[in-house]
Amino acid sequence: MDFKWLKNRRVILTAGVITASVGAFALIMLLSSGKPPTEKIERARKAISEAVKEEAEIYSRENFEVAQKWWRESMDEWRENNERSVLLRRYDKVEEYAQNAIDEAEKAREAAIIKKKELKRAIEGKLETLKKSVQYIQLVTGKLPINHNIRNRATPFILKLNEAEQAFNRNNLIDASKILDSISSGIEKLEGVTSSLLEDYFRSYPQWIKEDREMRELSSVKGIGVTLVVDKFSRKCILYKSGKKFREFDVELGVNWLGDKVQRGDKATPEGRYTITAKKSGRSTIYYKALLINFPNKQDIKRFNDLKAKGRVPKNAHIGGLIEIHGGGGKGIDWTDGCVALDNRDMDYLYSVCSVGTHIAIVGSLSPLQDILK
Amino acid sequence: MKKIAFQISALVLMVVLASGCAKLPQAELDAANAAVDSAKIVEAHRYLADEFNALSDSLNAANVAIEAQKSKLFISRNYNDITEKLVKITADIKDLKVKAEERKAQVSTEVQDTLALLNALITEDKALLAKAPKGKEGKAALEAIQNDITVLEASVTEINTLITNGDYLTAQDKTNASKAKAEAIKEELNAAILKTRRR
Repeated sequence: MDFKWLKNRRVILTAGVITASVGAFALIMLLSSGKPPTEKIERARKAISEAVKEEAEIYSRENFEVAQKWWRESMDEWRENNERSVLLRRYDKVEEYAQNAIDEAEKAREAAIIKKKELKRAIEGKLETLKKSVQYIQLVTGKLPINHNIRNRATPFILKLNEAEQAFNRNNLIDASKILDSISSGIEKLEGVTSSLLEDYFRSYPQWIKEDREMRELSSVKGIGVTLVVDKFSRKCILYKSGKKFREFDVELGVNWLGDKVQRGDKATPEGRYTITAKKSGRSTIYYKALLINFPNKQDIKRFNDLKAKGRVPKNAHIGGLIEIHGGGGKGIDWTDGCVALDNRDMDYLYSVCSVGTHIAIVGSLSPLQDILK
Repeated sequence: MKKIAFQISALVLMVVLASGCAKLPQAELDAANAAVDSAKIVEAHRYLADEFNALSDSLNAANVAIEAQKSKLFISRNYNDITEKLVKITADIKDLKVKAEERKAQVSTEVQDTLALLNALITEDKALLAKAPKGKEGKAALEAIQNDITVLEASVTEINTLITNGDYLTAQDKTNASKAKAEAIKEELNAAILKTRRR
């Protein structure tokens, strides 16, 4: 019995030795393999995830791509090590690559935040500026006959500007920025052209105000009766009587009413001081009733000759004539060849109060440019 | 007795080997990767970017967890949690793909609807242009508006190309921009016509 107990003890001992050997082997393997780089790799993953949240792949592409490259390399290195025997595993490179991924991902994240903020601010500023420019161009083209050319050029820009705003509103800063860059200089140039046209024109503003005042004062002079002022910008004909504004009529002008008349056929309404030289009605006019003015006057002829001498009008050009205030208006559009058109009812009244010799001034505007552009 | 000793040792080894042979969830990992690729094809990363990025990050986390297990001694590896996570990620990405397809279809419908409105507005603008006051010079003034309409028609062609290419978001921007311009033209023409009628 004692002998049997001894034998059992030997068996248990043998089994114990085998188990202990396996355990010892496992422990040696575990201790010799080094600590896995899980913590650092996790930090790299989180850093990349944070960079993605800030859209670094869009706004800091280069840095982000480098971060991802290091991330992939660290994972590949880890995988390769894991394929090796525990005794041969070395995680130094994995840790190094993961650290590079962390550094680059943080750089990418920070750069993306800054870039987005800067881009957003720049786009907001550009949108505001360009919208103002477009509003200015639209305001001017809505009021002036220079509209045809400028409007044609402005329309594609306006569409693109709307498109950029749409992209911006859905937070697509890159597309919005690209669109704005493609139209900025075009809009700025167009605004410059529009602005210089207007400013050139409004240089005569003090003269227009002077002529209006003279007409008003003249109407109070005994024997003069009424005087007229045509304000081209507001499309109004003002009737002065006894030094006061007595009535006002809507008018329509020549197609190219902006600026002074230069030559025959330019469809511009002349500017200056004139007098009525003839009254026409019945079969003598095709526009119901008409008041012919003395265009061209001496100043018109002088200016025309000067322009011709400077070569700014062709040598064979003619100054034109037959400028009238006539009926047939009320079309809602500038349509004449340079005359001033009123609707027939207003023309009836004007015809009745004006006579040959009535003084008339045709001016660009009685409101300053700033008021018009408000 | 020797036999018993061998049996015990064999049992110990079997336990060790059985616990150390946890199965790598390769099939689940492949399925999750395939799901991400298929979600990209339907542009989930564009239409539902935040959700897509979160799931891609979960997949990265699962890859890290797999390697972390592989770094452990074979007797202590356990992929059960990771397998479950991968199955969930795959299911979530499939759901996301469906949602992205729905969102894309929704944007596509919105673009088509806005495009139909834009085309109707262009037709309306053309009709109003025919009624607009002309006078002697109508040609020149109305030519400018006709030019605007031509620009809009060119924009419609571009929009159709974008729709054909499946770029609905850019098409949406362009359609909304063109619609705003078409509405402005309509307003302008109506105002001109009304002005004539009043007089």
